[in-house]
Amino acid sequence: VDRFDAALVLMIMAPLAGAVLSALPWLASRRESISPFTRFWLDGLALVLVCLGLIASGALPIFLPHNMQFFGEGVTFTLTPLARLLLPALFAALVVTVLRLWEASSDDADPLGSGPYSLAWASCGVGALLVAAMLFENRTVQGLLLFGVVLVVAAAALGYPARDEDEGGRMASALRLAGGLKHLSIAATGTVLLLIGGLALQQHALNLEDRALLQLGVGMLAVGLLARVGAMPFAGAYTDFVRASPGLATLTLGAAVPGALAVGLLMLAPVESSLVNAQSPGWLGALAALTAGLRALGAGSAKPQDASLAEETERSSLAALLTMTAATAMGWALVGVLSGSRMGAEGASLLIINMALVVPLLLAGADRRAVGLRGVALGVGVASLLSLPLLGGSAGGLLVAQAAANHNGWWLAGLLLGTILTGAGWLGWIRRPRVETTDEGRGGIRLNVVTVLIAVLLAAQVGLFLGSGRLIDVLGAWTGVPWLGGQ
Amino acid sequence: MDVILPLVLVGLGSAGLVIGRAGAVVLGGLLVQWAGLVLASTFASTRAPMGVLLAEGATALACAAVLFLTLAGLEVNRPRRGAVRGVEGGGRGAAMQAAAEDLWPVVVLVGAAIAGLVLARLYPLGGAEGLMIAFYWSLLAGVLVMVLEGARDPVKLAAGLFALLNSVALLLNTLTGAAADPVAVGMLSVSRIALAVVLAYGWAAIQSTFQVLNLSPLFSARDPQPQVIGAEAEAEPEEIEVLEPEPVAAPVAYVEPPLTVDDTEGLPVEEVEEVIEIGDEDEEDEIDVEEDEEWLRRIRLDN
Repeated sequence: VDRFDAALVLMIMAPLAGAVLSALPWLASRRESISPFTRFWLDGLALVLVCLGLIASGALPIFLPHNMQFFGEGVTFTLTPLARLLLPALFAALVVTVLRLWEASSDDADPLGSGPYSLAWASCGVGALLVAAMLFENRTVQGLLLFGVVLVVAAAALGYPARDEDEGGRMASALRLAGGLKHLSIAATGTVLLLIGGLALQQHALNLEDRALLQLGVGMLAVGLLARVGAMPFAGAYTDFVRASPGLATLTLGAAVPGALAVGLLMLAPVESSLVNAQSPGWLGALAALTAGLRALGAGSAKPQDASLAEETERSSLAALLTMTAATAMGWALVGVLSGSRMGAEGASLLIINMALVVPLLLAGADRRAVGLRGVALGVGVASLLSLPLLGGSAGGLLVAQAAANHNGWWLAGLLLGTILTGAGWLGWIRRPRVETTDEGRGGIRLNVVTVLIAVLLAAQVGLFLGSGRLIDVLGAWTGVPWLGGQ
Repeated sequence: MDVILPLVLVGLGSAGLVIGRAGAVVLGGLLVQWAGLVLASTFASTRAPMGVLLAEGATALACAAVLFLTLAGLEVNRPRRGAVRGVEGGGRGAAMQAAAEDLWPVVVLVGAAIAGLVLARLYPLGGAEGLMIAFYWSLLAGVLVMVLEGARDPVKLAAGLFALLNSVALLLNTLTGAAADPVAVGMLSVSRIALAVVLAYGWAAIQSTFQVLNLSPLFSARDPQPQVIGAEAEAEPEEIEVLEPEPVAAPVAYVEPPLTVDDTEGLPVEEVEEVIEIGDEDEEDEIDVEEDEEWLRRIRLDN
């Protein structure tokens, strides 16, 4: 095994190693005799170890040559330029998820009732599974690894039953349980469709004349991807996650969903797009963006049924708007992935990177600790996800819009209408009378982990906008991909 | 024989899955369906039929053990199908509606069975017709279970998800294009066992939080209930006063005509004693005795 092969295996194992090592300080900090001061530092050490594992796994692809392969016992790993481009961004989202746990509120940090470790370990599991899914060449294995991501997220969401007997505790528990079960059932159904589509395409390779099987396989892959990533109308679980545990929402919307989109592109890569272009399923993405826009419009204009429900309505409206904004971006990325064109794939890749960087920014903006930076984080996050100019999502949005226009003007119309409706939903939310919630901190800018993360993620937006061209050049090395042969 | 026995098992299992109400029946249906799919995979597999049998059999046993043991360990309080929709206890109309509720899955199941036969011919996915029928029956049963009752019943939700994944396992083990990749087969088994663990944990979490193994209270608990401002005390659930039946004032029923010694003539001795006892318990009589004693005391004082 040469050193490059070892590096590929290390990419998968590093997050798991970080999780295992962090278990040592966890075990030490569980002792009752330990002082709060020591426990504080043991908690910090655990988070640092987890972050080191994630950073090692996310940074390795940058230093490795692309298209390198590892052949093991019945296993082939390939580091494609797409994986090399996207993995660092996905791991950045995972690191943000873990860092947010530092001094977090109990709701955010404690979905499993065992301190910040549970969500940190879930991040490690998601990271390892995403790397493996992007390195494997077998579609079935890729789909099953994505299902593994779903199981980890669902396990973290189910957590412990409500420990608080009051209504707030029961509601938070109900939100986590409902979100976890919804996510599990919808994503499992999507995985089944992905697997059947993948098997149909494998079967088509034995009988190339059977075009119907090819169409069926691509169609099932497309619908399966739509359900698996949780684009509208399958995004209900994410709203529950945002309301119950923003950390879990960051893990899911910032890393798991963009990772699934990227793996979907890899699963479609060997398919000859010119054979299925006439039936290209890209309209699914446009429909998803449009539906998300409609839902955002409803959330932005929601009014409480009763004065006592004003605060809770405010919270749920904001959660729905945040989710639907991300769902609109998912629709755009899906169109790029399913368009079967290099331009669309490049745009989708940029949008996936942007999602991984901007969803953590958006959810950090909704955190109580963001205080003075709340408005900036929310504003920049929403604008970037809606592909407005001069931000990280603009270049990707432009490329996807071009690819959509080349296929069918209605796709572009659907995408733009969805974006406009989402923006209108936010405008409605801004214009209606404000109800202060306990989630909103008061005061100016304070130095804490969330404000530092917001500052870094804002800088990343500028960097992504300026560096979009360079990133597309990296993807230019992804040659010999039949799926990217279309318009 | 190679096709008929698995198909019969898949069909029976699917019927139990969709129509069954009790959790054990639903899981039993799933297990029967699973057995049919394992047999179909074993008969159709050209590469390693014993390997398929062992892998799928072990997966089925592990998942069934996790799910059955969890279900048995929970104090399951599952409402009737009609009760969930609020049609219980409403006379003949409600009874008819409940009957329709029970009949509806049967009708849909028959439709799905026919659809499976048609789909197996229209979209064979490269497999033999018998295998494709088993595949579509299992797939459609999973979809039906989730659509019909997956939003209310967590046991049916779990059974539906397993039916979907098992149908994929059938394809993976039998299609020649899949080439029975051992990594994929192993991962599919591990995924299903992990799914069983997560779902079983979810059941336990729902049961312990809401004291009922049903998804309806879970989804309704997510929405806050309006409160009357300034009337917190009224908003609290009132304690239900348990009304105990008032003691029947038995003597009242017998006091209509004051009994005299003449009235007891001809009666048996026991009844006479009973009448005397009842008369002794009468409060009015006690008051009379006190008045008599007071009257006697005054007379004595006067004398």
